[in-house]
Amino acid sequence: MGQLSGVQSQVFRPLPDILRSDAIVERLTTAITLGLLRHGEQLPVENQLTAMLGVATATVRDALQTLRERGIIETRRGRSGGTFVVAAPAPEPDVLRARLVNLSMAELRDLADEQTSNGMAAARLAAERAFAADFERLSDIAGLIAQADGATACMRADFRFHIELTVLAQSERLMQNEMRLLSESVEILWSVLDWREDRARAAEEHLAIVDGLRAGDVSAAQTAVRDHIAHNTYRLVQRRLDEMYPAGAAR
Amino acid sequence: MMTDDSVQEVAAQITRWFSDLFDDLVQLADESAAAMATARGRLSSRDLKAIEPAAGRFLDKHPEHEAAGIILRPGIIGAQGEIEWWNREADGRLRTLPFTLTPNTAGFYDFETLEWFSNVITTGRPTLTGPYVDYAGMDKYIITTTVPLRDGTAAGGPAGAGDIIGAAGCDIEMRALEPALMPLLRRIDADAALVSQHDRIVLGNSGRFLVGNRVTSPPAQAHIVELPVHELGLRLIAAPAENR
Repeated sequence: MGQLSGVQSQVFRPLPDILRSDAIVERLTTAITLGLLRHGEQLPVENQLTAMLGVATATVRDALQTLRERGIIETRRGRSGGTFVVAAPAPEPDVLRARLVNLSMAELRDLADEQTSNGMAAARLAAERAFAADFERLSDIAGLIAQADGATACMRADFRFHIELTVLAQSERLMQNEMRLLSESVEILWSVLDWREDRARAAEEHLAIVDGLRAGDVSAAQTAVRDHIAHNTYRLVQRRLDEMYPAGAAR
Repeated sequence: MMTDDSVQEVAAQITRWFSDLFDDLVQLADESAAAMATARGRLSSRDLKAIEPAAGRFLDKHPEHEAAGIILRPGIIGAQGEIEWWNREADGRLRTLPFTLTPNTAGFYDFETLEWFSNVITTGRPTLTGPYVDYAGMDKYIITTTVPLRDGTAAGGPAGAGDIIGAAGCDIEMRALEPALMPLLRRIDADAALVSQHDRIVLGNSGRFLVGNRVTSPPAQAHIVELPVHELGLRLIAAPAENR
């Protein structure tokens, strides 16, 4: 990108510290909710976090303080001291609703487009690169969601399947994309879906992807990925429209 | 159930929204042409600045729009053409947006080949382009609407009568168009979509019709209404709601 237009320079203006602190809180909360950071796990020390996140020490401190107040992390003094994850926060309905409503129709569709692209690419590479044993393992993981007991458990099982599918592609870049895409979408998705109804459908759709891979049928696996994401997207769009623009008639 | 009345009524309101927009673009074109006109008979780049008040009036009346202004054909002033495109910043000040008009550079904005420009120049008709990702332009997902800009100099005759020297137009982000039109579409008790002349969905009222997708064959039991706004080719398609 060369010279920035006026509009673009607005986009890249420095974020106020409060927004950066909020962004750190949101990112860590999502990571803990999804199980990327587990109960009991120690966070990097303050100046490591400062360097990794590229923000001021005070900003990191603010974020950690917020997480501490919410009971998500705890800081202990002494020889075996440090900051530890002590609770997995339940996603707050209001926060998730705000995240959904804030995505326009165009942005929701675009998010689905990127998820579909990444998922289809991972399916193709997995078909070429993975072994029979990999597909057996993936098949077991695909079905886990059918037994998940609650929205949070469904969300974690869903997350796990898509990550494990991407693992089979042998690509760090595809994995980073998938992590980012899931972090943006999977909590919102399971706040919209009805876990009792939808967990069986999710399991079926996951298994359809694995069946395609097992059969060496790249196009069947990719079609299953596309249909799975299209199905979820339809539900996200419907919910957002109902929230933002309640229909006049009994719709 | 979907009633013909509700579809017709919503079609009429969307028609009015676009008709009003194009009326104001024609006014922007006329005011810009008049403002640039000088006794010297030939435009120079200094004359471009004179359109600022007209662009400001347009943006004040259409705050949902991202930017507005004029584009001149190559050869009217400079060999690469001119883009005088204004937007209003958060602090309320107007400023022009920079574009790269040098061919063979990475960010070259090759506007002459884009529909919103070429169609206005070759047909002289108002045009609606998009939704599209405006690479090297606004770099956003937008719709662009344009009308012909006619020579308003002494040599060109009275405003609105001279040769076409370019286009006057505006951009709206899809994110901003949605709240303007979705409440209307949601009044239709059916799956409904506003589609462009290229069958591309501009906005849909359900998960069935996603913006940017194309509706190349009419859905079963579809009710289709052509919107009489210039000859833009806009249509409203409604089909009995389906659940997925």
